[in-house]
This record gives sequence, structure tokens and C-alpha cells, in this order.
Amino acid sequence: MSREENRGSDAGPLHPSTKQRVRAVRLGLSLDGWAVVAAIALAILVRCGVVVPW
Amino acid sequence: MGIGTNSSPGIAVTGVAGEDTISPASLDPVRLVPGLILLFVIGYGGKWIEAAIRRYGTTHHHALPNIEYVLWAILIGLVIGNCFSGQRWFKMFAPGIATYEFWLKLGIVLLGTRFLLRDVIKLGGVSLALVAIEIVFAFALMVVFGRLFKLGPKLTALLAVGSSICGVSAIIAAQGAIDADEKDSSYAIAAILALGALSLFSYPAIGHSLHLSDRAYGVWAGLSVDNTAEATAAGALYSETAQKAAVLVKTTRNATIGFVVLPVALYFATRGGHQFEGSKAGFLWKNFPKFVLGFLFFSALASMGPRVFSASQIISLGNLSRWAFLLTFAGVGLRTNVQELFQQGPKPFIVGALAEIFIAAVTLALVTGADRFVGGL
Repeated sequence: MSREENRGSDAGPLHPSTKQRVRAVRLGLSLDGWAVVAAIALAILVRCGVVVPW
Repeated sequence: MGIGTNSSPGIAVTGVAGEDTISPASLDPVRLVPGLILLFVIGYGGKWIEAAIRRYGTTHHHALPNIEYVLWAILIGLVIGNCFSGQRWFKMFAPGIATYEFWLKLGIVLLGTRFLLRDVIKLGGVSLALVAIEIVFAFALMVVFGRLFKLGPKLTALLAVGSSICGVSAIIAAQGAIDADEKDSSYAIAAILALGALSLFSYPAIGHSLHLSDRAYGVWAGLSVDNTAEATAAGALYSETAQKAAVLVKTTRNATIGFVVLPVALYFATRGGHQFEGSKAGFLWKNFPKFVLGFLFFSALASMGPRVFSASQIISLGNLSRWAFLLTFAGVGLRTNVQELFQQGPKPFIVGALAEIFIAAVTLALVTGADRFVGGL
């Protein structure tokens, strides 16, 4: 049995929505550290009273 | 780094479906605006519907079921995404929608303030033990099913890392490390995403039917739902306590990504007669999710008491975390396509589904066992 058959040759093409989802995950991985930086910036704003408690 | 072939270094050796790594510098802020507005409108719409139903019930003295905003945000996103994502004009929203994974990570980091470090260590310790068992079991099970259904070894490995650690992120990391071809990773990603979409609706129903406690349900969702976004949403659909537990356990799972992918990469390198290029420590650091460190950092800050954050500031940071999750849930809905379930290889989906059912059952037994016999979670 060929490798293609092993994989399931009746598979359809990757759905555009899946491609977008992969793109979002890649963006999330690229911005992994920036999420921490953004959180620290928000925490400083809250700590300084710029973002008021609600 | 990775298997020494003609591939370029790093985890983004090959892009899934022709995609390359996205550089933050390449993001055009203006192009993000329409999608960000859409995420906000859908998320806020979910909150508005939840509040309107509650208000209606109170005013008219009806006992209406309290349907969380999370479900509304996902459902509105699902309807809009499935109806319009094929339209050309809808493409203008794509860059902004793609940021929802960033909001997820921001939300998780800020959620660290709602945990005292001693709670993280306590629940994290228990969950680390459960995660270790889950990873070994899930990986072994996927390999057995992969062989049984005669899937290729790399596709089996991708499905195994996807189902045992953190879904699509793990598959992307493993794809570069084992030099898998794009079709293999596309099949694995499609199967994991389809199963994640199903878990969003099946987990809360199972949890309620078994009368699981919030904490036990959250640990179960964190242990067995593959993608972080879906695990967070599945937890939030149950309760806030369940969401916190799900995020903590899922974060523990995410932290193990490098430690699982590295042996897999070494195995395929040895098997193919190649050398593993680069430093192993560098590989582990590159694949380590940095938001986990952010989560721990914020938990440590919150544990220092009013010297760092007052009670009201902690509440504010918690609210900011909720808003970040709101955008995430809207994005999950927008990017969950019903047609996806039917447009992929049946074999990877069947293998994934069978393994996920077993994993869900075993982790449920582990969690209820730990909850009952080890003194509670």
C-alpha cells in the first residue's frame, strides 16, 4: 500500500477556514511574548489608575 | 534545528498549507481594525443577549435557563462565519479575526492574577501528574490506532502530539521538527480542529449529566480538550471556576510541548539516518510557550497582596482578562466551519475521534479518582 493510500487518499483539500485557523495559531505563536508585554502594560495602567477599576 | 535535511532552521521550517511564519512587524494595524471590530461586536452581542434574557426573566417572573455569553458569542460567530466566510468582501475581516489567539494568550496571562501562587502550585502539581499520565496514554493510544488504521508514521506522530499536548500549536511545532510534509500536517490539523469543535458542545453536556463539580470538570476539560481556545471555551461554558481550572491545567499541558516534540524529532532523525541539528536546550526554549511564564509572573504578583495590586485592581485585571477571552470566543465561532467536518480524510478523523473518546474516558476516570480519593482537586 502506498503512503498516499495509507494516509487516506479520499481526503478533500484543506478547508479555507482551517487555513485561516492555522494562520491565527501561527500569529498567536509569533506574538506569544508580546501577549506578556501587553499584559504588563495593562497592569501598569491599572496600577497607575489610568484604567480605573470597574 | 530539527532534522538535518535541506530544511531551514526553526519550527516554521515548512508552512502548513503554504503559510509562512507571521512576523509581528508585517502586521498592518489598519487592516486589523475591521476584524477587531467584528470580534468585539460579536463578543459584546453575546453579553448583551445573556443580560437581555436574564432581564426578561426577572421582569416577567419566568425561570429562563441562564445561557452564558460564551455560548452566544460562539454561536453568533458560527452563524456569521459559516454564512459569509466564502464571500469576497468578508476577507477584509480576516486579518483582525486572526488575532484571536493573541487575545487568548493575553487573557490567560491576566487570569494569572486570579490565582494565588500556592493554589497554582497545589493544583498545578496535581495536574502535572495527571498531564504526564494523559500524555503517555494519549501518545501510546494514537500510535496503536495509527498502526491499526495503517496511517503513515509521521501523520500518526502529528496526530499523537496534537491530541496529547496542545492541538494545532503542537502539530505546527512537530511538523518542522520531524520534517513532515504539508499534507500530513493538514490532515492532522483538520482532524484536531474538527474534534475540538465537537468537544465545545459535548463536554458541557457530559459534565452536567455526570454532575461533575466545577473544579473536576475544568480539570477534565483542560486535560483532554486539545486546543487551548476550545479548552478555555469549554470551561467557560460550564462556569467561571471551571474555566479557571481548565486554563491552569491546559497551560500545564502546553508547557510540556518541547519535552514531547524533542524526543519525537530525535526518533525521526535517528530513523531517517539524519543528525538532529542545533542545541536541544535551544529547541526546548524556542518551543516553550512564553505566556505560561507570564501567567506565573502575574500569579506571583497577585500573591504579594495589596503591596502590588489592590483588591479592586485585581478585579479590573480579571475583567480585562474576560474581555480578552470574549474576543477569543468570537474568533473561535467565526473560524469553526461546519463543512470542515466533512471535507477531510475520514481515516485521520476516525483515528483521532476514537483516540479522543478513549482519552476523554480515561482522563475523566483519572479526574474523578483524584477528586474522590486523593483529597480533592
